[in-house]
Amino acid sequence: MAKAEADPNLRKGRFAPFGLLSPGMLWLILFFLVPLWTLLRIALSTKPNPFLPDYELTWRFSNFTDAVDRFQPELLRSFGYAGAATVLCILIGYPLAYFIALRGGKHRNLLLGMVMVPFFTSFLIRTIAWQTILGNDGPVLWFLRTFHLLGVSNALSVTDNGAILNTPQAVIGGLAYNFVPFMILPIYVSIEKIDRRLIDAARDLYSTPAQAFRKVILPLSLPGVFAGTLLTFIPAAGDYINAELLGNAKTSMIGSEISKLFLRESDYPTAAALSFIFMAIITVGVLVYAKVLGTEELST
Amino acid sequence: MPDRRPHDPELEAAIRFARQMSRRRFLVRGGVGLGGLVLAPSLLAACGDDGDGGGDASGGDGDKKLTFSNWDAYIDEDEDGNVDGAGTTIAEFEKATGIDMTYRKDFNDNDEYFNKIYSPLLGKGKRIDADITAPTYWMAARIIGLGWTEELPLDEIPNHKNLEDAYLDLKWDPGAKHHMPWQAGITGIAWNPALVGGDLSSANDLFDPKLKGKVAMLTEWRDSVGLTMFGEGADPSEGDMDAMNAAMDKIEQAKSDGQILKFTGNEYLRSLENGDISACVAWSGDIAQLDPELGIKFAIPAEGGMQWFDTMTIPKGARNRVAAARWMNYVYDPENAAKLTEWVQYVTPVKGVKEILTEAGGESAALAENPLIFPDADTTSRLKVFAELDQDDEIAVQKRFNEISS
Amino acid sequence: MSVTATETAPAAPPADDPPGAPVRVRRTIRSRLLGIYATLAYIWLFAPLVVIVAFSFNRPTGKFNTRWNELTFQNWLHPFRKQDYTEALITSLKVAAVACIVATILGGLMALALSRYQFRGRGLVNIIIVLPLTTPEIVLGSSLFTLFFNANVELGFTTVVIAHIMFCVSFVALTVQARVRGFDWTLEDAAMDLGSTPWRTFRTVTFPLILPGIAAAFLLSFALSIDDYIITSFVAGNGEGSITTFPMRIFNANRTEIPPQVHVIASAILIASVGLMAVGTLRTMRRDRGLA
Repeated sequence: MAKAEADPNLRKGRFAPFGLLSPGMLWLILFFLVPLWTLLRIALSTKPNPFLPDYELTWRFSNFTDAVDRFQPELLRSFGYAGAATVLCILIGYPLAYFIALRGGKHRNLLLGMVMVPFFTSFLIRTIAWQTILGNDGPVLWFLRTFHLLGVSNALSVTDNGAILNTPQAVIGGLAYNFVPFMILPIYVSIEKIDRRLIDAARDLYSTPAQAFRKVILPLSLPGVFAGTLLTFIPAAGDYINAELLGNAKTSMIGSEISKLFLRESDYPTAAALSFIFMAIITVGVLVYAKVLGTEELST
Repeated sequence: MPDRRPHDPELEAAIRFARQMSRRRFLVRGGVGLGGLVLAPSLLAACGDDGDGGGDASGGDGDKKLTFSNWDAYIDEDEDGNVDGAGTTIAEFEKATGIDMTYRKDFNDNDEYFNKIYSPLLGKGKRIDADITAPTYWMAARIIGLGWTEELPLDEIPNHKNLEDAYLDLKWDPGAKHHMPWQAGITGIAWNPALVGGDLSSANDLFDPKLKGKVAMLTEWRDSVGLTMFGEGADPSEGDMDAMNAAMDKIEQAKSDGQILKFTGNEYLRSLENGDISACVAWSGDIAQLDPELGIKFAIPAEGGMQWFDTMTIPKGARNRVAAARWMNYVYDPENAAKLTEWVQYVTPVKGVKEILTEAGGESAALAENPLIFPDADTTSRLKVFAELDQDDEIAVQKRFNEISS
Repeated sequence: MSVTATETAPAAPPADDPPGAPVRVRRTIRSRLLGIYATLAYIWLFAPLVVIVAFSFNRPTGKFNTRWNELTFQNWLHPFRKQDYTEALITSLKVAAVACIVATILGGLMALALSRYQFRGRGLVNIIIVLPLTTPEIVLGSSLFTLFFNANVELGFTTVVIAHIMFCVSFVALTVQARVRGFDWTLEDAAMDLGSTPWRTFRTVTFPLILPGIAAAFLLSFALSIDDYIITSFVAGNGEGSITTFPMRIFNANRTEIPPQVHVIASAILIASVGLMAVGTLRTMRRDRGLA
């Protein structure tokens, strides 16, 4: 994944880089890699006594296949919801990032800050607030009912039988809402970095602004879209609090299952196996996505 | 790095020396030192500790401090919502005994507590920090069966005699030597009459297609499956696996049909308040604590309801057994028990509370007449405790229910 | 959050100036549409915040502050009435303070190394930094719990701080790296030509220039740390040293109550961060005016 070319601006160093890296790397190794390694061992173990946290390493690879069989619906659902939320984030976030970058003018920083502000309240309280807004007695349904739009919204699948809360739509909406800043920021950065003269030149060359956008701005902003997609999709797929607070019994996501396996059933081997399968799918997905888009660095 | 400084050999040598020293010092010491600085406390905690949450479990007879891990909304509070404010049971207890008490509302879920605390610590012979924990009866049965509790210091609990007789007869702890019930409750059905358009009377009403998508059940499977079994004419206290599976089939079908919207813990209260659900399986005391203006109703289904209780146990190795005993003794004084009942409105396991409330008159007397708080013999006959299953069956049922409820 | 000190772009977008009025009208409509869209998007972003602030003035009938009952200022006059919530908030702030400082230092150093030096193993280092971001929080939490448990470490403040530092370091490293890219390192050489020591160069030349990136990274990790629930719940412990952070308190109590004090605190944090931003923007505007 690293850039192959030798950046002449960089120095070659022997001690210095490793000196700078070591405290951080040590931390990550000790508190991230080592625990994961422990978890991997547990994924290949069995628990002889269901009431005691003792594990025997039995190289039980069937833990992995069993987990996939058992939780296939939740896996698919999680990636489905996360994908829908990511698309929603792009649709909502891209125009907003464009607006701030190219039309924001001297208020750019303020506008960007306003995007970040909701992020500074507790995510739990925000989601609980959505429960109020989308609930039976909330403003959204009140609006739809008063203007007799329920039939339309049911047909468009925006509401399920006259309800928004406790539906998959609410879950996807909640996911999109919580992760949209992660989409807007990278896109904004990449659009803002585009040399203005390129934009001017494009506007001169192409007959419509739409073409200028399509041929110049859009392609140059793709690294931002790429980064934003990753920063949105990956945590969204693992999130389960939105599903728990805004969804129903049929919308549970894989994170919820893993949590239940750890905390309620104390079935660590299956939980660990499921976690690794989830992470593996994401990693493969990310690599494929990177190849397809032709971008190698993950940080813009 | 190319050196572009003016060329004076002596100066160069001096500068070079100074640079090497400062740079290496900065990077290496800075990096390592910082890491060490932050790791040190945790390493110290790991090594030199004298046993909090990690020491060997040998019980102690401390009587100066006490830690009680209990469920939320289970003890009286002052108007600011503090459990140890002036006039509360805890404050009065501290005054009367001089014991410094810490009350933790961290018992949120039996299984979670078991997997996060009981099992990793008590299972390995270490002590947990709480001196009293209040699991639900079946979890208490489990940990007592595993030998993870201390026997109660009964000489410190003369009020043990005030325990209702029914609790002395349990298979898993005859004579109640390892536990003293905190509060008991009833599981029934709750509904919003305005949304339902009337009243409900049976567990089967929850499966009425009229209420589709507006019904919730509890994640506590003994309650959900138990009530459903009642609706099917079975008796949950008999432990018939076929009947249990049939009930779970029914629930599973209802869930995939969209009849049951979700499975919750205490959150059903909020959904009832907001009108997101109109009927659900519910716990008696919760409904009693809801604002009466909302009009939410509760009833024991005609076929029967579930009875349960949460009970105080002293985990093995607790350091303050005497203090724990004194607390248990204190809350088993009928006067103090009455005060608790007035607040939490669950079924008290202490004898003599009803008389005290009746004597007090007014609102308290009204509570004494409430069949949900003081069930009469007729009500009690309709209540059953879920059968105790053996380990494999219990795990199988739990696993199946977890899958259904998610 | 982007440094616009060197930005020379015009404040208004350049006029298209294609011949003929109709196109200009079309363009105006188009940019109006974009403006309308942006307004709607901001309304969507702020909708829950409006609810939170509004309900902080509510006197709830039940235990859940989710239905409007009546207006009251009592909540704001006594925001710290609920002791356990206040204590949890203070704990969260303490954890965040320590964790973010350490994470910013560790991550910043890593970002410096990655963007300034060329060395073997860059790819591997990048992967290790990015890997925590692809790991679901529940896995991070449970694996750390297993580690601490096996090592007999008491769960509490220290373990929570360790966990927070761990997941913040990656964010910091990536954020600072993005800001530092393209930094002209010859500036350092110039400083040293003039006789500055490496440390002084760092202090007076390098550090101020990467400071915006570091500040952004610090703020980001602060937000992440304050709000973290899943990982924290695994490593906060249950013994004497155990702690309860603000999200833990809300989540645990969420089943039985949502006191209005929670809304007040959330609103206060909101107002504080909006205020900080406003101050920052005013200062930038004043400075720009001064420079112009």
